[in-house]
Parts: sequence; C-alpha cells; structure tokens
Amino acid sequence: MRMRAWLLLFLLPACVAPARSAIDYEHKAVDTAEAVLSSVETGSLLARLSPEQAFTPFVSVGLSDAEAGAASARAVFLSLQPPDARSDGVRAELAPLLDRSDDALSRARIAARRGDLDALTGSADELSATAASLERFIARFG
Amino acid sequence: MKKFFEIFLGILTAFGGFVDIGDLVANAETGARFGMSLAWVVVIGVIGIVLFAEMSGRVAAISGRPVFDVIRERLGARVALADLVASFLINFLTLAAEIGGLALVLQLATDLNYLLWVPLAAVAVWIVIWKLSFSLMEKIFGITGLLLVVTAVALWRLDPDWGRLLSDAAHPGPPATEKWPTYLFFAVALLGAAMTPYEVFFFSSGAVEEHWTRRDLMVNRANVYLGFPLGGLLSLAIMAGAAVVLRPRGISADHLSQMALPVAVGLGKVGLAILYVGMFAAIFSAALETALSAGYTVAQYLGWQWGKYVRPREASRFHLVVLVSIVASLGLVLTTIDPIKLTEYSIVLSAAALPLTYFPILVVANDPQYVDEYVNSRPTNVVGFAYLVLLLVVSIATIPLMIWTRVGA
Repeated sequence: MRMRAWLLLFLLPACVAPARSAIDYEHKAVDTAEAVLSSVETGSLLARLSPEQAFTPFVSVGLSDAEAGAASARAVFLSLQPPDARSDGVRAELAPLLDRSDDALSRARIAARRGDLDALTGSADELSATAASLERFIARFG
Repeated sequence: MKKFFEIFLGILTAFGGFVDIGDLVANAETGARFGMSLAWVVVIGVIGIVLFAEMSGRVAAISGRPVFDVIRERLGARVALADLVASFLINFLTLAAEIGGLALVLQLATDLNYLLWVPLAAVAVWIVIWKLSFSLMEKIFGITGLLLVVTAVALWRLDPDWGRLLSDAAHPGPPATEKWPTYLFFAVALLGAAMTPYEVFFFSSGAVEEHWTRRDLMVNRANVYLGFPLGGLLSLAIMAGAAVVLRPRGISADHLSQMALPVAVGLGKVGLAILYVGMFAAIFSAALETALSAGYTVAQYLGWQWGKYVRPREASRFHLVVLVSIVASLGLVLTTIDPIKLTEYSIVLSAAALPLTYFPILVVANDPQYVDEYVNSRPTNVVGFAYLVLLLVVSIATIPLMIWTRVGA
C-alpha cells in the first residue's frame, strides 16, 4: 500500500490535468505554444548552420529531437477537451500552427538526411515564419 | 618534482572529472530558462562539495578507511543502512543516467538510435573497470574530460555581453516569465547535480585505492580546493552558453542536441568534435565512478573486501555488485525511459537525500579516533553545520516542489 502511494507521488507530476475552465485551457495552450516554439526555433537554428558549422548527424539528430518534442506537445494539447466555445476558438487558432510546425520540422529533417542544402535553407525560412506566428499567439494569450 | 606532478595531475583529473550528465543537463536547462540568475547555486554547490569532499578525503588519508566504512562503525548499523539505501538507489539512477548519456553522445555523433548504443556503453564501462588500474582509469577519463573547456572557449567566441551575464548572475530571482516555485525547483536540481552523493563516496574510496596517507593531505586539498572549483567554472560556462544562444530564442534545453548548440554556433565542427570527446570522457568517467561507488558502498557496509587495489578474485562480491548495478542500469535505460528525464529525476532525488550523505561525514571528520589531530577547524564546522541546515531545508522542500511545479514544467 505504502509502495503504491510512493509510486503515485512520483507519477503524479508527469500527468496532464484536464482543463477545467477557459483560462486554464488558455494557459495550457500557451504552454504548448512555448514548447513547440522551442522545437521550431531549434529547427530553425540547426537548419541555418552551414556544413562547416555542424556535422550532418548532429543536424539530423537535433531536427529529429525537435520534431519529436513538437509532436509530443501537439498530441498532448489536442487530446485536451476544450471546456467551452471560447476555448474552441483558441484550439482552432493553435491547432493549425502546431500542424505547420510539425510539417516544417519533418521537411527540415528529411532535407538534412538527404543532404539537400537548398531544401534545408527553405525549411529554415519556413520555420522562422512559423516561429513568428507562435510568438504572436503567445503574446496574445500569454 | 614527482610530488608536484602528482598534485598537478590530481587537480587536472578533479577538474576534468567534475562535470557529468547531471551537470550538463541542469546547467544547460537553467541557462536556457533562467539565464545566469541561478549561477549562485552553482557557487553554493561547489563550496559544499569542496567542503565535504575535503573532509571525506582527510578521513580516508588519516584512518586509511573510506567514509562509509567509518560511518557504520561510528553511527551504527541502522543509520548507516538508511544512508546505504538512499545513496545506493540514487547512485543506481545516476549510473543509469550516465549510461543513457553516453548513448546520447554516440547518437549525436552517428545518428544511430541511442538504444543501440546503450548495451555497448554498459559493456565498455564494465570492461574498463575490470581491465584498467584505478589510477589509469581515473586519469585517462578525467583528463580527457578537460576537453569540455571547449564550452568556455565557445562562450568567448560567441562574444556575449559579459556585463549583462554578470548582472544577471548578481541578481538572483526568477525572470518575469517564470514563477518562484519553478525557480526554486531548478535551484534544487542544480544543487543536487553539484553535490551528488557518489562524488564523496568515490573520492574517499579512491583515496584508499591510491593508498593515501597523512602525507597526501596536500594532494587532497589541491584536488578539492583547485580541481572542483575549476570544474564549477565549466558548469557556469555551460549555463552561460545556454543563456546566450538558447534563451533569447525561447529554446529550452530538453535534448542533448540542444545543449550542444552553443558550441556548434560558437566554434563549428571542430568545437563540436572536441565537445563530443569531452562529453563522452566526462560522462564515461562519471559512469565508472557511479558503478564503482555502488560496489564501494555495499561492500563497505557489509564488511566485504572491496577495491581495485586487490585482485578481482579477492574482492569478488564487490565486483559482483558493480556488475549487477551496471546490468540493472542497462535494463532501466532499455525500457526507453528518456535519459534526460532520468537525469532530472536522479539529480532532484539526490538533493532530497543530501543530508543523509553529508551529516555522517561531518560527524566522522570531528572524531579524533579516526582523524587524530586533523579534526575539523571551528570555521569548517560552522560552515559545515550551516550547509547541513541548508541541505535539510532543501531535502524537505524537494518533493513538494517537484509535485507543485510538475517536475519544473
């Protein structure tokens, strides 16, 4: 019994509580946008590193990590139930940004693994634009 | 001349061996989120580890016995058992984190999934422990770990606003975007990373492995008074690099690849290559230390023959504990638990258990039965006691902070 209590104590912090109000939902949306922004900015920085600055495996692993981070944050947010109509609006605004981030990071990772520098540079621009949109979202709701 | 060279080598080994996966993660994460506003915790952590490592080295040099052995005799089997259980579990998590960290470095260099590297890293750790002499093992990896100086060189090349970094460091407190509980949680993590229990157990057992006597007290002081603070500077360089490159872009350091970005931006491929070798050596060194510490603590508590200074046949149970710890750590990492998350848990839980490790050392270092006339001076005791109070407060606050902040989320 005591063992179970300890286990619960350590697992509890890892759980994501449901959003009970519109404010709570907005907070979670901003947290998600910040987490995805971190991944997108990482991707942008990596995609802009010249071949003299970084080894291909480093860029590839970094982009893959960033992609996984963004995908995980996106999945958690989209699994949350929006509590009211106002929250539906927040979801409708953030979800496409999360999709865009995911796509842009995937494209950058594919370009890096193929050694396609032109495509990688294109991805860097796309990631920067997505980062700017995420920042605007954070500024509005944060 | 020989003594001078020995002292110099000892300082370099302590310097290069100071940083492990816990320091890498904690310093990069805090730099990325809080800039330099938590630098004061690194300073407190380094002073703490210097203070208590010196005591444990002194006890070992004078008594010819490692602290864990003495703790059981001086404080009794029950207190020592509580210390053993807490230290062993945290040490186990730390060992798993180090093995996972090694695999992550290899993944960065090769783009092969880290899980493929985990068994090889674990086998390599065991082979080195089995084959290499203690002194050689400690020096090779400790000194190669010095390559982490590349983080400081990269910081210099990034040409940061030094005044701003110093100003941030001089003004503790969370930035506007962060809350106090999260700030304090990361402070606890940094302290846990700097004062990880295995460091003192390994240090004092190492003193016995190398047959220190009271003539080596100078080596002990040089190692801890110079080597550890220099290692602390590396921690600050990692934090500053993250503060300069990651924080302005809103990048949090959740992956080893992000932690390496300041060096890639500052120094390019050459810097990255040096960083890979430095990280690998530093983490490998820590993996050896934690694996050996597992054997040291159990064998010393149970009164078994231990150490690499005797033939493996003579310390078979010690080597068995080391091997089982490595295999169990391997199993834990192979569950696909994120090694960075594992590191975060290991350093935070280290912080929770710090008084259990450091209180007995303070008691033993004041007992003339073990250290003759080399008992702690009054100022050392005042600072040591102040640290114990601090560590007790940290220990009580750790779990509530962990839950409140959802592990610093």
